[in-house]
This record gives sequence, structure tokens and C-alpha cells, in this order.
Amino acid sequence: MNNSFVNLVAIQFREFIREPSSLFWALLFPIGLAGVLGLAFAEKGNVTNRVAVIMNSYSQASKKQIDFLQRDATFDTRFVFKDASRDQAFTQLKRGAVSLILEPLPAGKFSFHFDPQNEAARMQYLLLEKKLQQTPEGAVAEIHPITTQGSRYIDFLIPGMIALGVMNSCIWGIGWGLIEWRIRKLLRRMIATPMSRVEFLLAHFVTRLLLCLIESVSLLLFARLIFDVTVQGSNIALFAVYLTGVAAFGGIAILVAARPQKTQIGSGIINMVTLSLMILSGVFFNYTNFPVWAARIIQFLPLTLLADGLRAVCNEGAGLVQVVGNCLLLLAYGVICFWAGLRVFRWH
Amino acid sequence: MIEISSVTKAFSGFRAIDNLSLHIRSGEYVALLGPNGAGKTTLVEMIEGLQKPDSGTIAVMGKTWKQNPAYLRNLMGISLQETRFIDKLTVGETLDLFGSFYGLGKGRSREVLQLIGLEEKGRSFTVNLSGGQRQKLALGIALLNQPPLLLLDEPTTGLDPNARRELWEILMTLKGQQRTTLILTTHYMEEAQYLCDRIVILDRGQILADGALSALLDSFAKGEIIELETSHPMPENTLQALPGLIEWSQEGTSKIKLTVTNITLTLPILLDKLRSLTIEAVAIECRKKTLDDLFVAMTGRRLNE
Repeated sequence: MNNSFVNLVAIQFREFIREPSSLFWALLFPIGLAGVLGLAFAEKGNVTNRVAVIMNSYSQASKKQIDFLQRDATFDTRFVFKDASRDQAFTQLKRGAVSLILEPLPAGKFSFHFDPQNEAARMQYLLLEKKLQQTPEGAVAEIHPITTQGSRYIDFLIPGMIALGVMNSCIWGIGWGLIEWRIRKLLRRMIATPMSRVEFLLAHFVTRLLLCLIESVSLLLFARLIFDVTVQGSNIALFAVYLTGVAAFGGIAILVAARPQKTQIGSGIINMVTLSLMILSGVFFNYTNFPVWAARIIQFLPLTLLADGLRAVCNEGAGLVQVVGNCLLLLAYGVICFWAGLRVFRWH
Repeated sequence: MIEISSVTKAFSGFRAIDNLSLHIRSGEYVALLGPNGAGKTTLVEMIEGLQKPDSGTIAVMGKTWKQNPAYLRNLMGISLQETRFIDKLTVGETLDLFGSFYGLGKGRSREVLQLIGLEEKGRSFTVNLSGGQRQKLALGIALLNQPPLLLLDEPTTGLDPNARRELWEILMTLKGQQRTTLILTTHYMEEAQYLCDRIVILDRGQILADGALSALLDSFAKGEIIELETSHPMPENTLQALPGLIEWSQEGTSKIKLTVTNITLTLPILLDKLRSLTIEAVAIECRKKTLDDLFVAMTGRRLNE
């Protein structure tokens, strides 16, 4: 029996099994991804919410209440209260490390600072408020919605989106383009001419810099018009972070595209790099959700350096001095990857 | 022009080129002829500097790739087997791009456009070109820098006869005008026969034969061919008595293939014999030997297999 329907199903299974990269993407990658995300959110079975507590106006009564909140085990979600000065608390909020600030007021009252647009913050507020009703002092909370620029979730998100855009544009634009030209034998044809190879790769980099600039400026203008997101720090610092970010991902793109000769393998490698960075690097949520040891590594990943640098300038009013470390590290990523990529580049 | 000495190149154990030596003089039009997998492309790409020989040396105009890559790149015009260009770039822009690598102005692109007969396609995207037009563009790129050495890897494979002939004409024009050395790989014997003065036959990485077509045929496959189909079988002794017969073979009962030194000598006598035996000739075909006969004589296989 040679049934056509059975055959039509069977050939697809054969195709699937005989292409190792598809096996990787379909089976191993989702498992790995689930593992990584689980590490971030499912630590000790519960979500840990970090709440900053402004400590300058601590009264004995409010201290007792916070101890109560901390000790209480009936919460499904765990709360960790961190003492901070007023400035520190708001900086942490801007960086996304906390979404809620608790400010003790006299006589055991509290005021809550959070962005009402932020779902997680609202949830934390409701839980804590409910809990406080059970204390002798009762629920005597004031809400201070945070609507100042630089502290809202959208302010956290936009620089992250710009960083993500730079990464995707560079790695897909340069990396995919080079792999495709290699498959078409166009690279091979080009290097048979006196064309300079360094010039060739630099041209890709410069093109991408200009294209990224258009993409990011449009995004920034959109955010400005619709959400009133502003750049609080120096424009020079912003451009420096941006430029070194493009340099970093331009270099990474050339390294990523240095070897692949097949589209499946090429897109596999590109996906792996971009997806892992996107998930790890705190574009949508702060990477302090990961265990401390992981966060310590994550803060030096290129996408994290870029997103954090952009956030510092946009939301915290940082100048060149505050972001020079990020710039240098990004530049180092770019130079090292470009050099390594050039060394192992497969022209044909 | 080109001096190849004892070159060997293997790919995971398989010897694509096996201890091959070849000398090509300036101004020669040389065809590398052989079936698929004979090593033609590997040999050409080693001359082009795109692959490195495992052992042996290749010198072009006295220079090797190790010493003078920049000089050699300027010396050559090449077309690879089936290059695809940037889809959404026009023919003119593609020529401008490659011209810029040689430091040539856009005027040269227009000259080349005319030379390859694609003036009307100058503004078309390369993705919209036919196979023949794409090969012409590949040839045009090879001609941009007016190279003294032109290396074309299967320039007409997959093209229809018309497109093939158009490409041949461009190359023949070039032959008349300037002193170019051409190395061309092909598995079409007509192409080798039509374009080239010298034919190098490759098989399994080695040179089987090398020389002008007539000289090759003389030394490896003497004679001319008469193919005959008759109404009744011809007696064997009549056949063997024919003048100038080199060999003969029979296919079925009534088809006979005769190899003779000279058709004009043998044919009249053959026809006389047929008449006197009252055997009717159903079909007669007379031809000179071709490269395909030559290849069969040398390897027992056909070129296009």
C-alpha cells in the first residue's frame, strides 16, 4: 500500500527529522527558554515583589506594620521591602527594579507611590492595602499616582524598545544580508574583484547606523507626541550611548554572519542571539527578577548596557560622565566582535 | 600567461584535480571540456584565487596568488557558475557597483551595456532578467576592467540555443578586437569547437587530451563516419572489402556504423555494391568525427552523461 495521504504526512515528518536545526528550534529552544524564564519568575515557587520603603520618616508604628507585612505568610506573592532614601527609591522605580514605593507617614499611615498604568504596581498596591486593613491602625493609605516623566512604565519601556530596535536592525539587517549574499555566491564574486574587504564591511556598518537612526528617531518622536516621553539628560550622552550601541551590534552581526552557509543555520544563530538577549536583558521587565548571580552577568550583556545607558540619559538625566562606562564596554564589544568576525569570515 | 605545475586539490579524500600541469599562452582561447565532476570548476577557481591548491603552483603572468593578490585581481575578468545578483538593483547599477571596485567611471558601464547588448535592460531589476540576460550581465561584469585574462565558468549552461549563440557572438567580437586570453569551461562540445582554438579535455581531475580540435581528432580518433540502414543485411565479406575501412560495427541486423579514412573515397563504392546486391539503402548519414566521438573513444562514456 502506498497511500498518498500517508505519504504527504510522512514526507513532512522526514523533512523535520532530517533537518537538525529545526529539531533544535522546535524542541530544545522552547525548553531552554522556559527554563530561563522560569529562573526569572518562578524562583521559590512564588513571584517576588520588591517594594522600596522610604525610611526618613520611619515611626515605630509604621515599622511594626512593615514587619507584619513582611512576616505574613498568607500572601500568595512574596514581598521584599528594601529601605531606601527618597532619591534612591525613585531611581529604582525608574530603572524598573521596583514598581511601588511605600512612604511611611506619621501615626502608622502610609502613602503609596506608583504608576496607575502599571498593572503589576496596581496589583501590589491592592494586596498590601488589603493586608493593612487587618492591622490595628487600619487602612489609612494615601495614593500618590506617579505621572512625572521618567518614572512611568512607558518611560522604562521606550529606551528598551530603542535598544531592541538597534539590536534587531543590526543583527538581522547586516547579518542576514551577508548570509544571503554568501548563499547567492555574490560575496565570492565580489572578492574576486579588487574590492577592499574592510571597506565592504564598514559600508554595511555605516548604512545600518543611518537606518537605525531613522528608526530610533521616529520611535522617540512617536513616544514624545503620544506619551510625552522626554530626554532628561544630555543629548550628547544619548548619542554617544546610541553610537556605541550600533557599533556593538554591528560587530556582533558580522561575527554572527561570519560562517553560516545555509539560511536555516543562519536564521537559527541569529534567532538564538537576539531572542536570548531580548529575554535576558530587561527590555520589558527589569533583569533584577533573575537571581542575583544571573543579574550580575546580565548587566554586562550588550543589550543591557545599551538599554540601561539609554534609560539613564532619558529618565535619570545622566550626562556623558555617568554613561561613559557603558559606552566603552559597548565599543569593546563592537571592536572585538568585528575583529573576530573578520578573522573567521567565510567569503566563499 | 598561465603556468600550472603539478597541482593537486582534494575535497574530503576525493581528488578533484590530480597532479595536473598546464601552460596557457597569451591570446589563446582555451576550452576546458569535460563531463560534470571532471574538475573544471575547481581548476578555474584555483586560477581565480578562490581556492588554494593542496600542492603544486599556479602562476599568472609570472605572479602567484600568495605574492600579488591585488595585481592578479585587476588582471582577470571572471564569471562564476550561476551567480545571482542583488534582486532589486538594476542592471546599470550592478555594473556601476562592480565598476567602482576597479575604479572605473559610469561611462564604462554604459560601454559594457552596449557590448553585451543589454541597453534596453539597463533600468530593469536583475531579478526580472531571463537566464540568458543574466549570463550576459555576468559576462559584462567580467569585461568591465578590460581584462587581459577572461575566465568563464560554464557561461551558457542551461541557456536555450539562441541565447547561447548570442553569447558566443559577443565573445567572438572580443576575439577579433583585443588580445584577450580566454579560458572557458563547458560540457557543450559545439561551444568548445566554435569558440576555442585549443581544447583541453578533463576527466577525473586529469588532462586526457590537449590541442587543436583537428589535431586531437587525428591523433585520438582517426577517420570519418558513415551510418547506414539497409533493407536487408549486408554480407560481411562485402563490407570488409570496402576501401579505406578502419573499423565497422553492427547495431541490430540492418544498422551499420563504418569508420573510414575518407568518406569521398568509400561512399561511391559502397553505393555501387548496394546496387549490385539489390539492397535498398533506407538511410545514410555521413559526418566527420566530433568531440563527443573523441570522448567516447577515450573514456567509453559520453560527455553529457
